[in-house]
Amino acid sequence: MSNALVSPASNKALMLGNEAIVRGALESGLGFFAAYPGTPSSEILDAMIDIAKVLGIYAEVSANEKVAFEACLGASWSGIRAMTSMKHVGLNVASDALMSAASMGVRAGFVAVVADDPSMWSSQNEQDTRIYARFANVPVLDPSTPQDALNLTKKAYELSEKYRTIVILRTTTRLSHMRGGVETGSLPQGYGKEKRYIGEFKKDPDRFVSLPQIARRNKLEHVNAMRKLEEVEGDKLVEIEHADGSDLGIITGGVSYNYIKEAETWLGISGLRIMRTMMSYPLPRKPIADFLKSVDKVLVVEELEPVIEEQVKLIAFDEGIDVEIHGKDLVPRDFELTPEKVAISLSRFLKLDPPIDFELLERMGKQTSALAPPVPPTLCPACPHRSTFYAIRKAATNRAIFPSDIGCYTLGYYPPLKTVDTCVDMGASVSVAHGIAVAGRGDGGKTVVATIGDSTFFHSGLSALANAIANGSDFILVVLDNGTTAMTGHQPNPGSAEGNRGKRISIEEVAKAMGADLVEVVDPYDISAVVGAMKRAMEIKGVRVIVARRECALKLISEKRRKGETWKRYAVNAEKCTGCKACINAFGCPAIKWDASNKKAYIDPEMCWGCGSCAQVCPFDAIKVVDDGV
Amino acid sequence: MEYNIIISGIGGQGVLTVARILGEAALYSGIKVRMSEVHGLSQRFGSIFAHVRMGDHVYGGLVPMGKGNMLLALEPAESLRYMHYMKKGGALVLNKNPIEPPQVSMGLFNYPNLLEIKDIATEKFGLRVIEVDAKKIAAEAGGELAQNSAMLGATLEIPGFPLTREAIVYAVRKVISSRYADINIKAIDLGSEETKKIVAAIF
Repeated sequence: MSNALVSPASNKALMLGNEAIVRGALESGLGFFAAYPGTPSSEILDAMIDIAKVLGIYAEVSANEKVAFEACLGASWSGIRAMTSMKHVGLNVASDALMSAASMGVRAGFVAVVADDPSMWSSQNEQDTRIYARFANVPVLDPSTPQDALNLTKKAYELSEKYRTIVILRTTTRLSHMRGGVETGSLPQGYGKEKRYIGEFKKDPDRFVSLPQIARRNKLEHVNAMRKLEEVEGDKLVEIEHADGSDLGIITGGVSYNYIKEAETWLGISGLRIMRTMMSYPLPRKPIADFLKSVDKVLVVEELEPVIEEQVKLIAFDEGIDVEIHGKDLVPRDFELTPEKVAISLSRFLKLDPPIDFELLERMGKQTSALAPPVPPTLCPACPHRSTFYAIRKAATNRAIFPSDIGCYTLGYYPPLKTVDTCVDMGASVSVAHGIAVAGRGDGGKTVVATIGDSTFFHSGLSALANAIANGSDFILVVLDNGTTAMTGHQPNPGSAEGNRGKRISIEEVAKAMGADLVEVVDPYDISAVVGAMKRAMEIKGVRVIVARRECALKLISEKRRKGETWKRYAVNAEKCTGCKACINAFGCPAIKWDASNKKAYIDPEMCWGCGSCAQVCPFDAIKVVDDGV
Repeated sequence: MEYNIIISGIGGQGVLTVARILGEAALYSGIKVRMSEVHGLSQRFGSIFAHVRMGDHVYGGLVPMGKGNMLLALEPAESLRYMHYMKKGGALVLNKNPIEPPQVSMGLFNYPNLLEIKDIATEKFGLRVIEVDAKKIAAEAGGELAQNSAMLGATLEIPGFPLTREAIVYAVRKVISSRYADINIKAIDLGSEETKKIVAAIF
């Protein structure tokens, strides 16, 4: 955690967009934070957990986004300023709470940060959270830079309290993970270690119990509040450049604004009227109408869906403004925008030649990149999931069906493991396995072996497992339990040995209590033990649960490195190695390489993290410990 | 002034740390800086990149295609993915030590020849290639983990590079654990020293 985040006085620092949001929340007097991690939002949660140790705010890693969202509601209703953060798909999980709570409103400010991932850098789909804001009828602010993220976080709290509404602060990967200089304000008085803001829930059942007659009144009050917010605040949430410029206009928001500014210089033009809107729903009606009246032609530049564009067109129609409006006819709708994409869109809008031959460059880039060997992300050396996947395939063979889930272990899709046949959304491994098992009954019964991580199991697997057991399903569920939420940066989950405030929950006891037909716990580094458990499970019917438990290797090695400790390393005995490549072509640890000159495998000592699984995989006993790490 | 850098490499090599050092050095020097990083999935030993942009008229974190001044490739083949983002005459600072990816070990793909990579950079994209044996330099400095500092040392020799040794050293001390700072600073100086002659010949 950077000192700039918790320094009481104002300061200037290099911050990620996500860190700027954290600082903005603290400057607004945040007291309660709850979230489930998810790229590109996770750094917000990580920073809050660290800050809670020095500033005395409450921060937790929640079991899932819905739980986090609802906990924040409780805090806000108790008079404590609250924040949750999540990735875009996290809002799908929390949307039940959002849709119902939207019209019930807040007491202390409540800001939900939702980070979209255009181009799906680390996600299973692309969705535009601004549409959720319109759906739930809550305001959404859309910052352009880290500085803007800090400022708009503060604005979000102001709006939330003034209009008693939940506010969504929407970021994208390119803002969350953009680093830039940020000038901070100072922290409010009242923060200190062991000095938590204490709230009190004041009963108001006529507002907080959403029975139909109360919900009807809440809805009307909320609609009025939103109308007022748009009318009163709208002109403070837009910025216009070159108000007396040309008769060509640009309306933009979020990171797209940056690309427009750069395209201007690139194309050598100036004087374009640019309106940047910081609130993309509700779009400030009067400022937009005035802007549209001042130009002949306007281009709306935004990433993903035409959220601003459709509102602009509606305003022009309602107000009878005669203006030519362009948007997604010239700006790509799929994937993230880039400076060059926006430069092309702008040159087409202005009927200018693009500043360089992008198509040629892109073609040259494609040809050249094709020469680089593909380097997809892969499970780490010593990753226990690799050993588990290897053992599952060994026991069940590739005739079995492998539904899987969201996490590092989705990488089991890649060769040579190929033990991931489906991946949809959090927890779907269990329910999809149930559907496949029921649908496939009577065809001779292919074995269905689902895999799910421990964090995902607690996030959304519990109800799916209950459903499968209660409906008499028939599959094996292997819980890949590395004791952490690894992909997003090692946040704890309810099954973790450390990092939680309360009690650790045992996955095997949960499965037993639910009535699973077999429950076993195995160590992934003991491959024959995993194969044995799999074989026992395959001999019976029903919902069988195997917990493959071993600490995340990356977490363990990072800790050892930090403490200056060493670990075991293995090497290939070249005399015994026959060059069969089982270790490479069936197991695939990135530390094991192929020496083409003498046709033997070898282990890169820098990359060996000492799990010893390859020694069990080698049919010729050629892999041994060479350095016991003491 | 506008100076655009892309850093490419493989997850775990320290691409984000190098970017962070350049960013902190820019902030220290009073230069406006914007950076873009990749977190999450790709960090697991996959291809990874970061953009560092400096200058008064820099807004977003992404280097526009064809406007890059320097490609800092921590792994040779990884440079091939971003050459088209560079300007003609731009610098390719290349760590000559390959990391063989699993697809190559499995025999599914050939690793390109280092000479071929350099040829493409010079002939096809008009880049000036500064080859650095960062592994050797780091070993000399006292630890293989200091390879990226050797690369940073090389950048200091490139004409037009807007950061000074003082700023980089400040940033290294800020970003890297104090236990390793001295080794890294030594690697920076050795990296600069080794690069001087190559730069004099091609710039």
